[in-house]
Amino acid sequence: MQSKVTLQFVELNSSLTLSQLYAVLGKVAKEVGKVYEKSGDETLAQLAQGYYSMKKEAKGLSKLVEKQLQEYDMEILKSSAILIDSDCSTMASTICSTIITGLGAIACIWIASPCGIWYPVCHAACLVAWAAASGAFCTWLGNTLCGEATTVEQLGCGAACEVICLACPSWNLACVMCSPACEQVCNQIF
Amino acid sequence: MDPPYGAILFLAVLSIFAVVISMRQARRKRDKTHYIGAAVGFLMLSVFTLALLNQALLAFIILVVGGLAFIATLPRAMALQKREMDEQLAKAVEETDLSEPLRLRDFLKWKGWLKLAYKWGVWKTASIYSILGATIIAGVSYTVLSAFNMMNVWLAVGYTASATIIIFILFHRQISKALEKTKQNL
Repeated sequence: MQSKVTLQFVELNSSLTLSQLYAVLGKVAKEVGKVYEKSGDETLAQLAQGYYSMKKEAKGLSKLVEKQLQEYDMEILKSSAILIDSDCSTMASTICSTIITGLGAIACIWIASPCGIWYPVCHAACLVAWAAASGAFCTWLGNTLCGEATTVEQLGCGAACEVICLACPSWNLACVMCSPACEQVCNQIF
Repeated sequence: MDPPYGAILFLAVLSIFAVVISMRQARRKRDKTHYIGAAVGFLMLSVFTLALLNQALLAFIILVVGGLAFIATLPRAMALQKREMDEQLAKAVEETDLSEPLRLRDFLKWKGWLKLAYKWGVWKTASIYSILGATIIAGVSYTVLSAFNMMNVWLAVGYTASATIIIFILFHRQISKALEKTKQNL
């Protein structure tokens, strides 16, 4: 099965509260849905429904925060967001690999600590090996969670893409999508 | 398809290493921050156990909830590592006499690399160190990938290239700082 992933980066220039942020994201999702629906491209038109659902959910979240979570409805000076529409397994494996890579960054501090002068070599080797193994594990976990079968090629793509995407700096918002985008290309090649 | 046992086994071994080393350091240095490493290791081991017991959803929930909590401790863990590395470097700076001739055995300690950086400059020294590191990593990656029957030239090349970039950045940062301090001591 070929998966489709679309994403929009939303940068907010002014300060606003959490409930207002969700309301704005809902409006953005609605506008994206409209653009996709009217694009004349059948593939994009199929994705419009996902963005309309996103609009409803963001609106619901906005009301929930405004009425029931007032203590969190504070002013946010600077905010940004990514709106992603993707299939279940891609989303699950992206969340899994983002978290496991973060945990690897913590674990590797201790794993490499006995290396002395060779600390940078041990730390880098640990980070990359951890990323490769977690890429394969998360591809399998994401597929299993969503009831999809996993192929050996998908595991290889998961491992390779996680390693390649280590070079993408984590402070860049777009890097969250590096791995799924890379896996999509890799799975099409193999 | 069966779970990727090779990858899970490898991550489990690394997690056990993290648990053992961090607990040893926590006891030796009497600093509770070291227990973060052990806690991360235990979290990973419980996620793998649940995944292997066909409890994928529970494994995922524990990973997300526990993982996010631990990622919040990353700045503390990095600060601890930086502090300890600075202590090691301060000791090396005190022991190093940059006017002494360079000996081969010095390269097993910071001493040799500091002398080399003083003579040849930080960029050249970091490049030599990174090439040596890349050679070691290429050998290790070939052995590990072959052992798991996952040998692929592109994977090995990607692995080595990513690691070399990280090595260069880490080493360059540390050696620049240490050299500056050594020069101040002159």
